Amino acid sequence: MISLKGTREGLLITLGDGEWPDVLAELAIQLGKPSAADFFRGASVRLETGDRELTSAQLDELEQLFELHEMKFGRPQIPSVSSEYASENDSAPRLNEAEVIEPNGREHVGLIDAAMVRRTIRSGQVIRYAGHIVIYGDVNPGAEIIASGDVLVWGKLRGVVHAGAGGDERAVVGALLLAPTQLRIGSHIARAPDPPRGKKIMRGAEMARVRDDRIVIESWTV
Amino acid sequence: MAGVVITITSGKGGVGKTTTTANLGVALARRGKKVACIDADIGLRNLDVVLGLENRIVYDLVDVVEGRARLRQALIKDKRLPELQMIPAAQTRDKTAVNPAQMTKLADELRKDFDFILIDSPAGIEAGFKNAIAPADRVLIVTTPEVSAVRDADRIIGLVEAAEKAAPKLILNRLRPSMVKRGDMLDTSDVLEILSIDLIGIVPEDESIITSTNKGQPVALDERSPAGAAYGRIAQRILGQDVPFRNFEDNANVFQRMSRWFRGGDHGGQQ
Repeated sequence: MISLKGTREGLLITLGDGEWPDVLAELAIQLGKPSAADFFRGASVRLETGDRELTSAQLDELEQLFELHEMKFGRPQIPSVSSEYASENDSAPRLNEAEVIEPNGREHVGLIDAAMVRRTIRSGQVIRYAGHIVIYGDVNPGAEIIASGDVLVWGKLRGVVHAGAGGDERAVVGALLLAPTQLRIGSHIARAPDPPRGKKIMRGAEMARVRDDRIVIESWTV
Repeated sequence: MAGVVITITSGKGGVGKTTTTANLGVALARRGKKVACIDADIGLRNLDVVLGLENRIVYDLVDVVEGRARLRQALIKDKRLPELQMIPAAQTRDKTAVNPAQMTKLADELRKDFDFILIDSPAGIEAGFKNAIAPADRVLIVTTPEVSAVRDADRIIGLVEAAEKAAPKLILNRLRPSMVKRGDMLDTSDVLEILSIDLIGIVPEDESIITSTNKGQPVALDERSPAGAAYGRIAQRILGQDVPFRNFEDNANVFQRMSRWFRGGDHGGQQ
């Protein structure tokens, strides 16, 4: 009914078929997921309405919803909302598939949609990126890393990490020491097992991914 | 004279910022340096008590900033050490009484007459911390070997880095060697592994700190106590001397991170 996609210009929301209250409710659920809430905050929204014609009242409802999630929404001018157009202005070309960066598309790995951060990410610091994130340094407890794609840490990962924050269940989290306070992939949440105090465990590089609907941790091999 | 401004901060309260400021002030003054300590904890002043100078306060930091007193009038001389002076915080105001620009101006005035200006930061990450950090040339982070204190220290280090100050140095306070040996306390390498900054000193837990604080007699006045000796070593490192780290915990990692920061250029490395 609803699809959300990260694009270069922001978040593309496509409203599919269905009764308006259902569509709106579904969108509210999608945006309100704990996995999504952090990620979407501050994003600018483009709307793809398909065959649907939105009334002014419906746009009001959308606007309120986006405001609630602190998202930026350029409201289209009434009555210019046609099925053909994204929001903002009529001269904007419609987004076609080629322009859409699929955060989960393996074929894009490494080229455009990765951010590299070269420092220790400390408590209270947040790195948020619509794509993959590579950290060359440690992620300390109290720090947060939120990516729509994969998160790779060339160092010790001890903070909170959320990969596939747009809902991509194929995203992975890898680290030389994978010991996050909490690890989320898509809508899955796992927390590190309480470690035995005192002893330091050196397990080597590990990678977390979703298998059979739950997060599993494997040793990191290519 | 162009004095160096050193801010002592921690994030968490109660880890020993004020005790550290007082004792480093004493230890530097004992080594012939002119030192001014500033209590930036407006509304919760303590440095005067720890230094034993409470009963001599006439004017305070806010009086100077607001023009009711000249700097010279607010500076309290330590009767034991002629080189040591302090500016107390105002007790009846709060952190908003001063802004970072005023702190910087005040510190710049003091630079003319002192070798070192030590600023005792309040706990927290708000206005008081920002005031304390604004004029700093160097920053010392105090932490205890506890998870919560280390977490807050990490947060503060991030903020110091964001303020584009030189990389801060770490003082690990209240280490209990016996607990570390039993594995009941974070050891130095655990803390350094998280914070990844250089160590400038380890101060062991020492009961004489409590009595000395209560009496207003900083332990560093007499460097025969373990904590007093530790402050003495930190002061020497601040002065650029190469002082080996004492091994409180049988841990080789301590020696792997010798601080080079305060060291003068003509000192050889010692690893």
